[in-house]
Amino acid sequence: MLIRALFALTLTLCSPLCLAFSVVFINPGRSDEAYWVAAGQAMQAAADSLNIRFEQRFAERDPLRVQQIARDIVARPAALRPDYVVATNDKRTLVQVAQLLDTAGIKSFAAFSGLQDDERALVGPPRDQISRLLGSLEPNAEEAGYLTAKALIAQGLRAKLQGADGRLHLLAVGGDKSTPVSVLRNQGMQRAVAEQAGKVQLEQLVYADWRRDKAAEQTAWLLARYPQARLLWAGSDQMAFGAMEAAQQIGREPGRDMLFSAINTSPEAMQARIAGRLCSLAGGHFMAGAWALVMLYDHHHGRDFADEGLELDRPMFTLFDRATAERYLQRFGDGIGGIDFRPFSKVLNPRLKRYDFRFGQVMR
Amino acid sequence: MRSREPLFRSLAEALTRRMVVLGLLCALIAAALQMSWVYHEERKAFDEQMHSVAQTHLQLLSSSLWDIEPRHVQSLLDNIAAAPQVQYVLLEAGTGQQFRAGSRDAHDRDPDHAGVTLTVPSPGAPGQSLGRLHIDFNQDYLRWQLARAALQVGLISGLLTLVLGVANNLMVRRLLLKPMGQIARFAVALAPGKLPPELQLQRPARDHRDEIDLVADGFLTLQKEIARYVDERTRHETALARQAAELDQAFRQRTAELQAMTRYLEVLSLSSNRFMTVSLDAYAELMRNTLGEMVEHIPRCDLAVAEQLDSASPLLWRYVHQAPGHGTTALVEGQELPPGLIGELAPGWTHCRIRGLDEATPAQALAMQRQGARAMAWCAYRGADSTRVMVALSGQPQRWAELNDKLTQMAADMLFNSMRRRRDQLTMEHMHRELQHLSHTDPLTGLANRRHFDQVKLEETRRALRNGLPLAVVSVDLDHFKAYNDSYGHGQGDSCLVTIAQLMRDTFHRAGELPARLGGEEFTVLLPGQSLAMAAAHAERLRARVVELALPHRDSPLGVVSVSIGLACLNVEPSMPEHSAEEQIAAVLEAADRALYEAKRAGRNRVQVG
Repeated sequence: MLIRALFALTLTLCSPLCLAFSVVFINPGRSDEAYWVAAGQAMQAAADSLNIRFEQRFAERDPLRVQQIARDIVARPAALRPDYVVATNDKRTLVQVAQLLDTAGIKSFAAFSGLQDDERALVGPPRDQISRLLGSLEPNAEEAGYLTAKALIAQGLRAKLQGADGRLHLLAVGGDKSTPVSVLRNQGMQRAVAEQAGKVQLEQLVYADWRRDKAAEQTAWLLARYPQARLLWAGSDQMAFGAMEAAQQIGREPGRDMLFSAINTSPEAMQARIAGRLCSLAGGHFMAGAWALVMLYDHHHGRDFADEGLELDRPMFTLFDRATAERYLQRFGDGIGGIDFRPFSKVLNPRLKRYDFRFGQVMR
Repeated sequence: MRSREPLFRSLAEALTRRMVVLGLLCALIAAALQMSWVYHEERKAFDEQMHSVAQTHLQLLSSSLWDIEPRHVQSLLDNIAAAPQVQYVLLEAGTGQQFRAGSRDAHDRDPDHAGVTLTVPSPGAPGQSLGRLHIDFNQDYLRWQLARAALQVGLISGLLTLVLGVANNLMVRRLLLKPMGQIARFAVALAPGKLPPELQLQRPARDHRDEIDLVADGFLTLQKEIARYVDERTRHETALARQAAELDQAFRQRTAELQAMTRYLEVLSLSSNRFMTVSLDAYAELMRNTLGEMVEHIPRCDLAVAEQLDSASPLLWRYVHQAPGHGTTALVEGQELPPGLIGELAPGWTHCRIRGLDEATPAQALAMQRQGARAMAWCAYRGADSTRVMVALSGQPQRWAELNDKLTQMAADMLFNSMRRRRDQLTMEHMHRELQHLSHTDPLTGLANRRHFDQVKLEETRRALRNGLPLAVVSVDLDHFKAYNDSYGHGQGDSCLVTIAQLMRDTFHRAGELPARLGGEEFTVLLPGQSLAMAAAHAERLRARVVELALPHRDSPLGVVSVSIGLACLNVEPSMPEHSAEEQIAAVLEAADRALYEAKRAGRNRVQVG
């Protein structure tokens, strides 16, 4: 008993100093996709500041490739295997990846998107059937939808873009029908509309699969179908840009004849927000991976996050106004970096009782 | 033009061909049915497809259009177009967009584009239309389906037809053709005269009978009928053959008879010709040969002619043809026939045939046995004076079938005539010689007369002259013969002349010496080849022998008859070559006469050489 206690103590003391652990992030996005590149950069920044050996692999939006990457990791010699793998549940790949890693004895953590209800019903919560799936951290997507939609409606009312019936006519372009992030964002948007029910009418919600071109096409249809619509809510910046193109096609100037809202922190989005073409923009969730590293760092060093829950759903979004957008560009315009994550670690800040992952903290 | 025999074509082939044609016909009908069914099915499938489109796709399309999911819309259209019955799908959205799926080419090619047009309803407001959906029917697919159906049915039916055809062919061959072939071979072998092998059909064992058995039974019945017919015919043929053989036999016999007769007649004709021209010497030989030819065709048979010149003389074998080894004893020409062989003959022609000893009278049988004969036939003619018989004898019994009385009689007649002629000829010749003798001879003395002497003297003269030999002439004259006649009578005178003539004949008896009485008591002798001296010696011997006879002569000084002789001789050297033989001999005769005269004058009974 004494020996075990002593051993644990030794480990606790020595590990932050001498035991840099390794993490691989299976990035589901494309290597040229701004959001996912930014997410990777943020994770690299966190790893740098927390002395974590970090490696990321892009799956290029290919679910099969996500699995292939997992298999590659498992196939590595024991010495080269990472201590943790951060994966997403993009396209419902998490369960298989986590199971694969679990059988190889590698711990995994879900960032950006966690287990869905049906999956959870099947394999149980983290650390249950898949014992080495430690937990998940998701940005509160509903919040993003709600924040942007609310700001968009407010702006519409201010700009008096009501139709002949005296109501604002809103078009919505969502990501997809199934991904929880998409669903939650849409729900947030719908909550905002519901709050202004008398003043705003949601004409139609379509799903553009996060694609700019499809959003443009669908917007063109929607504009033809609902000529009175002057507001357009988009689930992402890329879809918003597509919708803008369609509006411009029929001669509606974004920000003047028609208002657009978007979610994301891409430089392009920031520029659009600064230029006023986007009247409402929320972002910061790309930091979810970086926050996950902070949690893993603490976990690795013996400070488990289980007391806050295994599946964390935290608000990470911030509405950008023109000034914050400019500041964001100033600071992260050439890539995410130079953020010190140590203040957010419970191990390094023993007084910290609850993680706060809102993006505003970073911007301060 | 040659009529061509129709080709042989097997029943199996014909049946199989019909079966195949029927099969193909059925295949055609089946294919047509199948095609119509397929057409119906495909149309139904298209209609169902349209129904399904209306039921499901249309709603999905509606929601996809509503949700503005172009990829969904496109995939739905592709889904619709994926149905093989669908050629082309066109969706015209109410907002102006168009979606297409399927092959546009065929749509453009087929101006009819049979198909349907559906209205895409709005999911929110059922009355509203989101667009129009045109679906074209795939004619190519229908054609392909039809073709495939036809091909399938055709292939299956073709295979089935083939299999059935082969099976049918085999079955027909086994059940029909094989027994039929056997029956046919049997029928071919069915011919009168030869018995075909028994009809044993090689067929599997059955507990029933069929048409083939009936046919086989028919052929067996036919075979029996043929056999019966053949039997009858054979019987008839045998009878006919027997008759023909008999006829043939008769004909041959007749022919042989005719041939024998012809040969006989030829022999007769030839022989009668020969007999006309034959010399007397060759007559007997010819007669024998003729007999031989006549009897040639009768085996072991002798033929002979016997003759009885007058009733006093016996019947003698005259001409005999007898080959050795006939078993008869020798018949000798000139010998008497065995007594009783012929027996007493009636006048005129008589025929007799004795085929064996049992047919002969006892006397005849005895005679025949003596002669070694066991059969005999003869043909005889008894005339007023002579009788001739032609006798055939055989050492063995004979049926004498070859003999024909008429022909025999003809032959016998010919031979007998010939013999008669021969006899007449011989008589004539004898008489002729007699006459000739008489004309050369002095009838009293038998010496040559003057005619003969004149004839010979010339011949001898010419020979003497030719050969240079001497020829002496002796003239002899009886002394005082006139007085002798007067004294003793002419009878005594003639007798005296005959005695002297005999003496002369005895004296001059050598060949060529010719004593002749030229007249009265005057004799001359030609002595060819003798000189005067030799002649004188002969003459002296004659004179002496006359005196030695001592014939009394009263009126002669000597008291006995004497002769005076004058001699002359033809000169060897032709003294008078310019003279002819007649003149020369005449001169010699004259000289001899002169010498005789000298001898007379000198006292008679002397020889005086001229």
